[in-house]
Amino acid sequence: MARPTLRKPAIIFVTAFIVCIAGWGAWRAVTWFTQREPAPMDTGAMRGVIIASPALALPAFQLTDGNNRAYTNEQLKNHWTLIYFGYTHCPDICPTTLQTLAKVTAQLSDTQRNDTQVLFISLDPKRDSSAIIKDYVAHFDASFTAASAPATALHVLTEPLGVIYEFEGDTNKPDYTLNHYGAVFIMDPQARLRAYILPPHEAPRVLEAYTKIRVYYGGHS
Amino acid sequence: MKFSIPLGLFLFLQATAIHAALECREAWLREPPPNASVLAGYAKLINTGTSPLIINAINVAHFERAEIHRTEISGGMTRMVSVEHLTIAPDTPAVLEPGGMHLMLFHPRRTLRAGEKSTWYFTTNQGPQRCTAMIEK
Repeated sequence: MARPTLRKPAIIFVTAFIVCIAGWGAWRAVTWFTQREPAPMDTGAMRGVIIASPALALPAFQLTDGNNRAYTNEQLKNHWTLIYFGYTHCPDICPTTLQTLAKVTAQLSDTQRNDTQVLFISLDPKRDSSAIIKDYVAHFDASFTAASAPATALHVLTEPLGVIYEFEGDTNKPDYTLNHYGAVFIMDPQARLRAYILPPHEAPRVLEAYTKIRVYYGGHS
Repeated sequence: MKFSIPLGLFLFLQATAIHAALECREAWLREPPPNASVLAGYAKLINTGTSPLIINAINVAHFERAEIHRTEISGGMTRMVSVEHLTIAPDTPAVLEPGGMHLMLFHPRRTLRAGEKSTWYFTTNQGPQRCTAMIEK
């Protein structure tokens, strides 16, 4: 008795179905592998380095950069970013930190430096105009970016990042100061907070932490 | 007239001794960023005398006024605290350094460049003292 045989169109259909299922499975596997949240990086002996796990996505914010252009979540994407909040009338800790970040970026490899942005955000928009913050950061490194915004717009960014700040002195006089949270925030190429480094910021410690975090989380897009 | 020369010599030596009580090492400040209205100065201040030396006031060439402040870091917060009188014990230097105690220099009277010098004038309980700081990049 002759065995029943599949007709040619049926074979093609079944084969195509299997290929599709396999392709979908492979795609899901790759997606899972590349997008899964890895275990938090062990910071070991690195003092004051805190990992955000899972990475923290920021709400939609809008600042104004040194060229009077909008600076939003989009500008944080497709590269790593080191963010420091301060003000230009800050005599000690802000210039010290920006100088440290200039030393850190100078020691990165060309590849790392090309996809690293240093962003200084002024918490003092009253005195820090776009032109002032632009010139200020360029003094430390021509590649640095600066931005600011009125308090309500700043709050959208400072609140989720835990950046507390308070003015000290009469803000109607020229020499008031700002007590402020002094961490350096490490944002990943998806504009998410990946880690932050508490002050004081010594260049070797910041460099070690930043490069290790990049390597550890770099494969998870 | 007979006693004026020994007296003068005594006063001169006394004045020299007082001036030598505060030694100022590695004094520097950053080249000011554009439009900077407040800067910080750093140094190691050593009391080479035998009694505590107290800095009560500071005047700095090229700046409207100067004060001593200390940056305090706690739980990630950074704040500045004014130091009204800085007491330096003998053989215990006061270190003015980035992120710590520093001179706070208000309102430069002109643009200052790296390589220039800035003179600091201290008023202390043991008399005046002068210190020369380098402006560095």
